[in-house]
Amino acid sequence: MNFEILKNLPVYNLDKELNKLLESNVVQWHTARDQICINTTKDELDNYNYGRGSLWYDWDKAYHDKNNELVVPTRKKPLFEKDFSFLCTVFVDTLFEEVYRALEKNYVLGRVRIMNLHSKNCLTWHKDNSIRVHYPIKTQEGCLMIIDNEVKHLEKNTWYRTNTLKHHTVLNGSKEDRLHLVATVLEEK
Amino acid sequence: MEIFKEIKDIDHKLIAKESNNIIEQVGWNNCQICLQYSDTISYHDDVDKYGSTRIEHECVNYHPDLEGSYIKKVLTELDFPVASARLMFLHERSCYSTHVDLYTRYHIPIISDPKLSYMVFPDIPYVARMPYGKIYWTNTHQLHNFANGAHEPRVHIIFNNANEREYYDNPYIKELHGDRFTQ
Repeated sequence: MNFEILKNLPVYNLDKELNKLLESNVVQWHTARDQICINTTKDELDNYNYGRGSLWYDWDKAYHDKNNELVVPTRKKPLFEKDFSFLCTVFVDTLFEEVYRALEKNYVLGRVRIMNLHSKNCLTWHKDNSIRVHYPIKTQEGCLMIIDNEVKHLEKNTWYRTNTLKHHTVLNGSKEDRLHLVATVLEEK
Repeated sequence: MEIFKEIKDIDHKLIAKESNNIIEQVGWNNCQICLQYSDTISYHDDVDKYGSTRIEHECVNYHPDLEGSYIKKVLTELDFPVASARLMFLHERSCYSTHVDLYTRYHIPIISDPKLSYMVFPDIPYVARMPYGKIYWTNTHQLHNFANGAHEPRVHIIFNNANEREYYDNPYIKELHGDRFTQ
């Protein structure tokens, strides 16, 4: 099954909670406004940007060479999903902590990220090494996830187990940002 | 209900070579280059001005530069007249708004990797992929989007059947415009 609705996880209005954190500047988007990682490694407890993007490639340093080929350097020190096992300090005592603890009861987690996909953007067609659990925080009609050849709009405030071991992508065909909480699942308990 | 079908085989290398020459010569404007026009000869004047009086089925005149070209040969040898033929550019890792069109569309992939770039129809649901060397018809009266999940831009030639007229009897159009177009 590519998409499975999960009923065993708490349903909160994380949109409101995130806005509260952003408006009070407790949390700020990276300049790319793309991801906030709510968990981190033991040496980066305050750093909610540490888990942004690829664990292997440093997309912030990507460039086009003289032949106009895209070059993406690797990170000096690669990161590993399993090391992201600490909730970032800024999310302690928030609804995100409650959600994170509930996820921890059900799964061995990798990174748990708030992923922002801007209007009229899509991700590459790719496979992940693990399944992902999605929770749409803010979404609109026209936001789609495609796994294999299956197309689905994921409803707001609903938990989905998604089979991202298969080729997949997401696209935002709406006029506003699309925000999902996305948990990397290393193992199901 | 038909959503997607192959129409005809074509020579991809030849049509891509001619298309790339036009792109190099003309340059993009609003991600489009018009190969046909209605009143004024131009690659750009008929570029989509959303909400304007531009009528796609009236853009039936081929740009004079296309005289003797393979592109024109392919389009004029179809068993229907072609309108509003355009080269269309889609940035890497981007898509359109999920929408319906007033016309169905024909596609000729020029620069496109069907593994990474594809059309999606969420209501069906259906994913349409378009390998090189063919003309494809797509039922764009249905809700759809085109996602370019590649690291490179996508370029397609997209055109209409000139015999088709704007189709408003569509729940999405009615939702947007009420009965404005159906009264």
